[in-house]
Amino acid sequence: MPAPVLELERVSINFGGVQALDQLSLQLEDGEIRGLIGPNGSGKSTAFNVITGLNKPSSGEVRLNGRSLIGLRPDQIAACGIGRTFQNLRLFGAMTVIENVMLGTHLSTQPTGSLATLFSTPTFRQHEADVRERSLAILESLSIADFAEESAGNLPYGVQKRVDLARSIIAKPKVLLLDEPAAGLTEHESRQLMDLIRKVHDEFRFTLLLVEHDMHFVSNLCSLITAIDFGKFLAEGTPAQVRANEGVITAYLGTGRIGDQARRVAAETSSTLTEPPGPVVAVQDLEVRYGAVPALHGVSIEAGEGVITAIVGANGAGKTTLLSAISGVVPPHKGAILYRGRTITRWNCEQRVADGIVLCPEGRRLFPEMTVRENLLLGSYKAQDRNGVTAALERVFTLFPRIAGRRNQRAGTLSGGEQQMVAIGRALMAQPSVLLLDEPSLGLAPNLVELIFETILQISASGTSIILVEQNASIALEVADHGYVLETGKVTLAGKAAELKARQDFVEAYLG
Amino acid sequence: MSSLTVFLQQLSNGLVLGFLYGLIAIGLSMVYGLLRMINFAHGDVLMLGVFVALPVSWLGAPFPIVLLAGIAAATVAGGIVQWTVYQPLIRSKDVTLLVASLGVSLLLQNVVLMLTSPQPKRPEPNPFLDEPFQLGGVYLRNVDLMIVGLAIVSVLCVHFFLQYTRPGLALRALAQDLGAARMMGIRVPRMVAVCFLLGSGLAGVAGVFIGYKYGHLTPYSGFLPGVKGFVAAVIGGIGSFPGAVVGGIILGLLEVFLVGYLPDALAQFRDGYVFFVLILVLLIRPSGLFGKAELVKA
Amino acid sequence: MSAQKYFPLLALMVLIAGLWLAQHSLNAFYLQILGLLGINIMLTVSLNFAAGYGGMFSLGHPAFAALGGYAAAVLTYPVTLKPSRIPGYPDWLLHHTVPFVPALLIGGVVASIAAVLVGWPVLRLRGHYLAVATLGLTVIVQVSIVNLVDYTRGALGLSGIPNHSNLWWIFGFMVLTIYVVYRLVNSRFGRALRAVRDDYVAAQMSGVNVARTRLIAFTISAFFAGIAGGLLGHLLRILTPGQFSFNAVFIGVAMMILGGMGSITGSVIGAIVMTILPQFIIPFERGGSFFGYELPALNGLTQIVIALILILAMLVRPEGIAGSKEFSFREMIARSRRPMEQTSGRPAVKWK
Repeated sequence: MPAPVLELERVSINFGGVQALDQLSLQLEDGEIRGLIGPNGSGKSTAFNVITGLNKPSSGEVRLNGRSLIGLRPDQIAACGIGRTFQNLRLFGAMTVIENVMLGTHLSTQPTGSLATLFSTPTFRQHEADVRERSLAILESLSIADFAEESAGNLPYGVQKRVDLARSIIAKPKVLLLDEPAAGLTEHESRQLMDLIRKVHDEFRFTLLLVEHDMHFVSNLCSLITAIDFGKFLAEGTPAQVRANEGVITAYLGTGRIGDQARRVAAETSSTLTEPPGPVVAVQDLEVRYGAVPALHGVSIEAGEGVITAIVGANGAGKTTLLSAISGVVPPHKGAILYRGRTITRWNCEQRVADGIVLCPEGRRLFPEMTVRENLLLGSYKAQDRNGVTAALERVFTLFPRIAGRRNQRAGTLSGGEQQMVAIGRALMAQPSVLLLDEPSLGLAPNLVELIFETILQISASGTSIILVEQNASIALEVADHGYVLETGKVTLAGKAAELKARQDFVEAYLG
Repeated sequence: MSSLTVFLQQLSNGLVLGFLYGLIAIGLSMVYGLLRMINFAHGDVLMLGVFVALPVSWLGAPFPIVLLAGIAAATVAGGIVQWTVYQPLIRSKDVTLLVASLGVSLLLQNVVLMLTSPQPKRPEPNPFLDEPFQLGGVYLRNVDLMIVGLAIVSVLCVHFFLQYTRPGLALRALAQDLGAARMMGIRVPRMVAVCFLLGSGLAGVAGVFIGYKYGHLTPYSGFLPGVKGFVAAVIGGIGSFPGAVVGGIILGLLEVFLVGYLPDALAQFRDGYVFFVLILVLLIRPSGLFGKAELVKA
Repeated sequence: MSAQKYFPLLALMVLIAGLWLAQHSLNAFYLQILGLLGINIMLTVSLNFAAGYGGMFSLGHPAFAALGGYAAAVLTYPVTLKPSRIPGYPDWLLHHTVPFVPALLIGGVVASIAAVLVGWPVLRLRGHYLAVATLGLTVIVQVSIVNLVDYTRGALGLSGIPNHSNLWWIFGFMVLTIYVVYRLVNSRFGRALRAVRDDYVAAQMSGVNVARTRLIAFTISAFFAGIAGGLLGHLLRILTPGQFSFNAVFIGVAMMILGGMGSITGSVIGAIVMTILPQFIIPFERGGSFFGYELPALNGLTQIVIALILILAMLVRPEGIAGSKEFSFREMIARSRRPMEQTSGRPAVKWK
């Protein structure tokens, strides 16, 4: 077998106690198109950062054609022949499109020497013209030559993506790392991109490593896929093999195990509902963008009063964005948000919290230097009735007895599960009518996930409406009454949770 | 004088200066922690405070009134500046805020210049404050004791405010995670205002004492202490309240010891050393003693 | 449009004609203002190279001008005066003088060396921290000048500098500065520099050595500042540490920001406004009788106006007069044809 062109050998890296990569090994053959997939937080971006030299691994080797890249500066690694696009583009916003691409030639052109530059000798001018011509040619092959003189910062998202691609291609790298190339693209646009990448790959014959959440995209483009989770190697094979791999399915969809008692409670509450209750929160035709990147297109959902509504979907589908929009953290570009019939689209965070819509954010976002008690008190910051606060505090400690004994401990020193309890408790302190939970199972061991979800059922039983975003679709749909599946910013499936779970295309929505 | 006495004298002088720097640094550190901006006008707000206190002292008011006048003036000035200039620019680029604060600094200096004169001024001499105080060979004045005393009291008050009151809790939350704090419904503009008012008030305390201790006040007397206050904040760790106090003390001690123990020819460069220290700290340990590293590197 | 290509040549001819006219018709006072204008343009364009194009907001520019200025002055200083006024230097320096242009260039080199020494550790710092660190450089240099009396005559200032500067030298170097900066900006190096400014991580991914690019730009910027300092000293015939203090920092920043960071045209405009405008205000500052009213001396009025302009600019138009655009005939003609500015087309979502 020929030597791999890019090789990762047992690479490990640790960020503040979190093992982001754990003995990860990978070999890329010359000219192949490889996909790198994994659920949220699995370490894909970290792997890219390690290869390109932005982070130094604590152990392991990274080799390009046999030569070690460890310890080299990022620009030196680029000079060795590794190119990269970014998930969030990172274009040079104040420069024109063609200048962005011309910068891509920085390595492949020899500088003409300071004297030639200063005196604008014919050599210099010829050189500049050459670079310009090459850049224009690339722009043309990517069909964006018309935008050559436009400022790169103000263009439509699809065009910016191509500029990013052009900038990396023109450097003629040996290995090109593409970081979520299809992020934010419509179905049509991502098909175009797929063709484009294939065309460019055939023309320039470089090796491609692709990180992507869009499974259709990855399956159609890549010959082999490597799946990772928790920074560890999970599976490798053809797209079909990986999709069918049990470990991969579990990593993405989770296991839906909750205690029998809780299961009974869930069954009871959903069976007593004869008619779907009126929506407590309704979202209509919502469109949200982060700068030029579209995250949600025309999303409409309804969350019933007093029930649990689950929003599931693969990473990058827009689930967190949806909750951020409902809670007021992110303003929508278009569309409306209604709360008990009132339009609250233009309300800020503070007003929504005061009125009963409270978010428990992804990743917990506790205040690490503060004690558990202080974190909880911050949850009730808006509360007018201070006596009610003490009562609320006791209720939270009763709900989560495990943290009651740790009330004076600094939140940053708690375990993941305990932190999640504090986070939920903090949201509860605001006495919400609508509790928005963003990925409560993230990073938790299965038994803790069970515990948390049982508690979620308890909270729902007390009358709070819950909108639950989860990557672990199995358990989310186990506890929820209704569910929506989001895929690349759109709602693709909706219905009663039990029905959704049984559907054939449900798994497809995740794994293509 | 034995060398021990000399050492203790320098130590005392350094501590007094250090507490002054600490008072100035607190406001700068908290504001940077929240807004990621260096308020170049901080020192000039301090100067404004003491310049308002000056006529109050000349009219013969007792010291506590003079001090209150200075604190009030500095607090009001800080409040107005942040409300009219900094808050509107809260989402702007780094450079914009920086230039705006330079502009405010220039404005304050010259408005005071225009209303008064470039002649150095001093407050009405206060016999109580000027009275010397001796502690085993170490010579101080009462004003020095007051500085240390009031600084400690102020620091304790701020500590109490941050630890045990609701707005204090909110401020700490904002400093740790602005986004999450917003999700709790904490109103950022209001808290930013509180932060500025608090910092400016403390600077006002420092300003009045600088006036009494050193005399010789000009409209330009505030800027350099303000910038040195920032150096102190960096040493202690930008964004950290205890860091600001500790950093201030360290800087004060450093400055006094350098001036005291170096030969005269080198000692004159005292202001230069402060910045030299800044560059060293930024290179070796940019997060200072208690701060967070990610705020510093480009 | 082909007219655009001839713009530099046209501008140069206008400049030469203007200077000739000025030499023969203006009195000494206005000639000096004109000289200061040329020097200010040089300072602003060179600062803009590092700050506007390079993204390195440095408050240390006056320090480089001071170093270059004093170095050049010491070299051209008459031998008769040197031993008595600035005795600190070694004998061979005290008994020789250097001709004007080499002295200027050496001054530039001295400033460049300082830039390399300071820049290497400091340029990796973030915006505000870089600003304070470079402000520190200004303080260190100023304090050093004041205290190294044997080398600089301290706070008194070094007077008696030979009168070598004239409008032709000043504007000649100014044109050189603009030319060099313009050439560099529109080259491989310039693209790399601007890329580092816009996103240094992405620039690295394309192979740009960030630290080296920044250092080179910073050094070149300092070089021209040093020459400007030398020209200043020989124009005013005196150098004092007070000329390179916080005030100089403010004015320098104001000139660059007002004109627009990232635009050579902007720097020129900013320098012109900030040099000429104070001349109109200074009479009011001195006080006296205006239009029949008796006004007292309003100390600091000029600075107040500058400060207000700066603050207002930040609030209303932070990108400055020219933004990041250069002068172009095409733009001017197109703009005069368009009745209104086009809006960007993106709806603004307002928060309460």
